[in-house]
Amino acid sequence: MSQGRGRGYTLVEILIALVILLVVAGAMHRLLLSTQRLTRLQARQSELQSALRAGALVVANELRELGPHDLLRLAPAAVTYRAMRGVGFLCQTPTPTTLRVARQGFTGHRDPQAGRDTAYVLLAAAESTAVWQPLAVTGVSAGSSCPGAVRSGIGVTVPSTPALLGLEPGTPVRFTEVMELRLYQSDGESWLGARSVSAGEPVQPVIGPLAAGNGLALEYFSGAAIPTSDPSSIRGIRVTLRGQVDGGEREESLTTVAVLRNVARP
Amino acid sequence: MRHTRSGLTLLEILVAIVVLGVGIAALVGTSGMTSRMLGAAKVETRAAQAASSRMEALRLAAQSTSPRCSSPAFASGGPVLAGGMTESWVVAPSGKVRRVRVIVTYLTVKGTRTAELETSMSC
Repeated sequence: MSQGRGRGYTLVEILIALVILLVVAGAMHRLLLSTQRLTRLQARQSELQSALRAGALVVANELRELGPHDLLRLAPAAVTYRAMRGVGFLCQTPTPTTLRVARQGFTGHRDPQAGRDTAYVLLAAAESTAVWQPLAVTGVSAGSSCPGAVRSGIGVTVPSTPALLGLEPGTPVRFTEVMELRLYQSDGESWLGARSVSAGEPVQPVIGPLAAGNGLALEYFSGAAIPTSDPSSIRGIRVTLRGQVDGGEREESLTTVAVLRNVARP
Repeated sequence: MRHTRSGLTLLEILVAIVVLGVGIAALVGTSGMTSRMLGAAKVETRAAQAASSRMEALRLAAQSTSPRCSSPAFASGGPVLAGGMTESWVVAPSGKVRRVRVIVTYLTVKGTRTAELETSMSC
């Protein structure tokens, strides 16, 4: 008796085993599929979160360096501004067409660039009557030398300006670039885009994809934290970035505040 | 002897099921854990942003008056409850350079957490 039963399974036993196996395998298949879907969703959500964090950092850092006079065009989802690119000091008396800026003491994102930047040279030193002369940068030689102990410098060629004659070494020079930040559409997706207006560049994507329509929201407010559209009274900008994952299944948003640092002392 | 070798014992099957179950539970648990971490990251980011926004508001208050830092809004304050977080801030009462500290407290499943931000502002 024991020999007969020990040799194999009956058809019924195999059928039952098969059915159970199918049910279990089916359940596992569904579980794995949903886990896979969830994992993808979570990966995208995590990417979106880090994109929003990076975007908030980039936009706020760019706007903080400005003053009210640097805000050129304002819109709810776009802003054109005079971005700070570097600050330095003259290391010798300039000619009408050439400025020499000491490398030592020069701070900024990058060196000045010809055809892109504007140099602002301080002509009158008194704070109440500060006059900054804007000069288009037409040439830059990064390897220029300065006289004296401060050796290395940046040579900047500008259109002939007699007012530069007689400026003393140590005169501050600011280099700025007109930039635009905006929400823009590309291939049916919305991105936070940036472009150099002064270099006439097309918009480049910075962060995204963001939510269409309200992916970037800029609110301008005054010193009393009241919304304003008058550029001269703007003291801060509230930046909101929004993004979506899988057609709105998950939503993320991040709001950050940038108070303008380059405000003349009242 | 032959009889016992003819198939899997109940114990073996149970062990197999337990092993499989542990594996699947771990897999499903990963998603749950990721979900919680994403949620926690969101809250942490919110707290950091809240602290940074409060700092900016204080900076705005500091530079809104002439001479600077004489605004009544530029002073220690809080706790203020906003968006499920408690913000409080400490401003040094005097000096040319003032130390400013913002503390944001928020609740998580693992208890109370704080985000702190500290800076100096010139007056």
